[in-house]
Amino acid sequence: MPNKVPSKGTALLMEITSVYTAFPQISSLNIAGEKAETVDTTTLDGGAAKTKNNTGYVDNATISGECLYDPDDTVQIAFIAKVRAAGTNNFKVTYADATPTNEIYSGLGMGFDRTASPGDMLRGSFTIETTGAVT
Amino acid sequence: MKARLHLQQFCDISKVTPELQPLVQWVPGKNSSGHSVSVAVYPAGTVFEGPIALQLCRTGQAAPADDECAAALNLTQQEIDVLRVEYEMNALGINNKGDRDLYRAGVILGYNADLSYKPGPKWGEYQRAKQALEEAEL
Repeated sequence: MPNKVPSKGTALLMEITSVYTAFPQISSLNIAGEKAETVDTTTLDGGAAKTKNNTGYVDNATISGECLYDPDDTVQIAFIAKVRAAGTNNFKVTYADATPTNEIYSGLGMGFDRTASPGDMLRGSFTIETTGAVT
Repeated sequence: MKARLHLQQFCDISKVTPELQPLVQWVPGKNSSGHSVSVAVYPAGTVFEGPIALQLCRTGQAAPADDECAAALNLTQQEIDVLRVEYEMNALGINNKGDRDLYRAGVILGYNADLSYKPGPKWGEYQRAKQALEEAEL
């Protein structure tokens, strides 16, 4: 029976020297874009309905989210260093289900934007493209 | 230079070096396909040596376990404790400002699956104070 699992408790962890380290102060997390790739296989002598087939490949997800930005935070500094070095890094997402589900993504193409505006805290938004299979 | 982990931490097995190999343990978990899997972890209390020890102290995951690490970190015990608590909240997904204050105060330990709070050692005291305030306002 499906359970209602809260978003609260979901965590994004970044691998630093083999230890997965929680990314701090995340206010939203979005993992989107994972999709089986298809190709249009409609032929000139086919019926009215167009046809599609799977190519056998899967588009990878992109992880994105927002956080409170702390320029002195060690993990955010490490993330920004990875952005600037155009590096790759493993990321783990853990959910708050009964036996916590773990997803490991191989991340690359990372980005980090900062926003400072009157009446708000310093905020950051991050994107992480992924490659290969989710394990 | 040595540091000791405060909490159990997940391990990226693809980055484990021969020196770290003896520290790795396995716990039951589940992957994104819903299958039971063994998940690699470093247990709470694991002692790391070398530059990684200082890195773990700076993130709040560990505390210095020798004088060399403490000197390199150059933080007071209180500052180390603040880093530890901050990291614990990040790892538990406690991001709401009010909830972070409750965690710092020992009122909550985190969340249950139904979104309710896991009571901490100060839960009863906090509830009594809250109730007294409500009664005073009536």
